Amino acid sequence: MNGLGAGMDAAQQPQPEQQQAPEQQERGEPASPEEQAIYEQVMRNAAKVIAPAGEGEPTISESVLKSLKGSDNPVMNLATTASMLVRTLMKSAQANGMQIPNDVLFHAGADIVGLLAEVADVAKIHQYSDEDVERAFYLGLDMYRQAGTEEGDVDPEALKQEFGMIREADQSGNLEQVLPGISQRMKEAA
Amino acid sequence: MSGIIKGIGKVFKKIVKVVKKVALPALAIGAAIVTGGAALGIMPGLASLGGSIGLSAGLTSVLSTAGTGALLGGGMSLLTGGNPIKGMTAGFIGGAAVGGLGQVLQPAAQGATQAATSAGNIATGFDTPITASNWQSAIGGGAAQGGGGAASQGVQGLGTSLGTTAANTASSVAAGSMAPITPVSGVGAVGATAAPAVTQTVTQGGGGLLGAFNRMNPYVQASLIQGLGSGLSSAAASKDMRRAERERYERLAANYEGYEPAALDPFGPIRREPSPVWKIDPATGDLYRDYEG
Repeated sequence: MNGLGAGMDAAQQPQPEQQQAPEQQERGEPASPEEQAIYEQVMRNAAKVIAPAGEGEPTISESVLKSLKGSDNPVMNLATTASMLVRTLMKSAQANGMQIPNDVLFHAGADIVGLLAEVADVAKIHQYSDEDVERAFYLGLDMYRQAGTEEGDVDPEALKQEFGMIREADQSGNLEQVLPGISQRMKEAA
Repeated sequence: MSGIIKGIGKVFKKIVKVVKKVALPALAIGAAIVTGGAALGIMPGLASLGGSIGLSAGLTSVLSTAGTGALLGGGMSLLTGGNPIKGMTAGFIGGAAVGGLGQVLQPAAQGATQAATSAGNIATGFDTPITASNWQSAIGGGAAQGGGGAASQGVQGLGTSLGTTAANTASSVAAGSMAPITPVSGVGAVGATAAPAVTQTVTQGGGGLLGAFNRMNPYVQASLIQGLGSGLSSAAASKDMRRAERERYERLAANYEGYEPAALDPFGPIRREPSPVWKIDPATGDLYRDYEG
């Protein structure tokens, strides 16, 4: 399959008639069918919160719009809105006795940040640059971690262990294997 | 929240076209930030890391740049005083996640009167009303991606309306029936409840996100909150829970106060108080903070 990267399990390849969009032609293993299903459900639910069904045409939630306009710091607004939305989705799953795998939540969260940035653009709240979206993603992650640690659904010890792995990989020169894509930024920063 | 770094490079088929996407390198940096944050409180203290914790200069530079860039918020100082998001979270989640979300942004021609007559609607007063058409063009018209393959077999009824085959299925959708929505087999806890077949006629809509919702009838949309989302209403319905979440985020935002952009130096102190330096205890290998001067 074009652009789907090496090592792809043939059983996981999409149907031949399905054309992979450019944004899907990334390196890395494809999500398992179960993970993909959960991801899709999370994104559908996120979209439902952002653009709830009401009378007439679907509209953007006023609460979301208000949150995106909440302060004079647009990056913080985006970060907070996305982080809170992701926590809402996570909690709603938990309340139903279900767990969203962390890597699914991670990727869905990143896409939700981008989605909300577009909402803000359409609603003429703020036009976010790619850098702004990244900044909001980092802030949102950090806020999610703190909120989750307080509430007990984020395990800081497990995160510390993963950071230890990053540090070891960095010291041994294998960072790209643990953090794919990081080398590109390190070259740019050099 | 463990198991993040193993999934950084994982590829998910997108079902909503996200133009402003977070690229792979940013995912990697994000993973380092969130894991490092647990170890170091990395975001507020990132600029004071230096090479003291054994990270290479290259990685330290990348993380410092990312962290301080995020703190700067695109060049906006957080020294305006007070908590930047205090009050902004009021209403979030409480309104968004529970039923009665009919906050309608009416087209200008229809005016506030029509908005006021719809149950639960509130005229928002935005200069440019958001409608299905301009929303759709902003995020990319046409059917959203994905929706096929083994991963979506169990939600094919929804998937076809969201996927690249949406155009092909439009006629069958408009005819008034959709495939039954059944849980994905083998997913485990996800989608444990089978949804009955949907037989109501759906309205044809445009492409993009709202177009996809337009094609779903209310019964299908209600089905969206089954499985993972079925706790959406119940979880968010608790007023105390919503208030606690809002207050938590307002408190967290205070952690990012007090950074002076002009004095920012990735390897220098930027805090008002003496900045801690992270060191490793050679005896135990544990990280500890050493407040210098």
